[in-house]
Amino acid sequence: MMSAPTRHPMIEAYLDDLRQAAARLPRSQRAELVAEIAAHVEAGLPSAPTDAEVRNLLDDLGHPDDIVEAAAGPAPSPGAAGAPDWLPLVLGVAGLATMPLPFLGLPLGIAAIVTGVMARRRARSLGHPRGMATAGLILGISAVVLPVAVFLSLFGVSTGGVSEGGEVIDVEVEQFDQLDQGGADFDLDAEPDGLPSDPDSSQLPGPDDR
Amino acid sequence: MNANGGGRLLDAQLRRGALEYCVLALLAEQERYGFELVRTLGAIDGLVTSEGTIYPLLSRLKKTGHVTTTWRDSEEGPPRKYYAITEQGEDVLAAFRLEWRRFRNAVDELVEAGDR
Repeated sequence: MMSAPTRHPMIEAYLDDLRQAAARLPRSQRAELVAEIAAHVEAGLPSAPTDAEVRNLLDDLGHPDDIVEAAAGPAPSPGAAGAPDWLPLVLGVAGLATMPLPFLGLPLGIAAIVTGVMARRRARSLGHPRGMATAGLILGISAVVLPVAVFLSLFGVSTGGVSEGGEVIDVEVEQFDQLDQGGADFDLDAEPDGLPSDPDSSQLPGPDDR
Repeated sequence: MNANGGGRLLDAQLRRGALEYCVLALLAEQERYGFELVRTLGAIDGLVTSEGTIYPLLSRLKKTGHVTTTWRDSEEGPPRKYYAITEQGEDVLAAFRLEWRRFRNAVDELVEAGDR
């Protein structure tokens, strides 16, 4: 993103705060919001503004938290009700351990998948790391997929070989990611993390009428 | 952080709900770029507390198809994003106008009667 080299340090600090507060927004929405506010500041100040001019403009804009709240709704409180972070991981391990007993292993695996998706969504909205939830999700998928693969191979149906198991899981996690994003944001413009994000992607044709 | 009581909360919601239509009404007059629109609204007493919150509102209105945006070159500085109302936005605004009049009259009648 282009930035004027002579930007006032107070503006720089304000935009940094805004970027941080906006971490819980989907990438494209965050980029658009920051760009709009930066353009506003640029349009509202002379080329060499005084501190007072900058302060007045930023005061009128309001606190970055308020702006982000207007974009995303109230921040989820960190202590809000929710399963503990480690739950998907424990369920996934239990699901794998009880794999020889499908009536135990399959439900545990499914529970690990469900809680894993929910934990990832929650961690994402809070800006927390998602590693533990992802690990639980992957273990849960393994606990469901492996017995099914073994079952199919035992009964002579070709599954494409066990060596592809890793890829299958990768693909499934990606799909959960997309599901994750859609569900968490109700945002038609949401892009999965890791794709190049285009600040103007909101202009893509899409089902805009809600 | 949000320890405000019910009264202030309702106030904020009323204001926020009305703001959307104030934006549409301003754009029904003519298209405007973000800064101009935000400054016009911010100058109206008691309507907007944080001008920055108007930008998320604009982005929402665009998503719902009530406004469109166009980039235009500006003589001073970088190109500007202009907002214009759509036909759908005009319809929504017209419907709001009718409802708002009824609402305003009803509230006026009650509130003013208690003042007498």
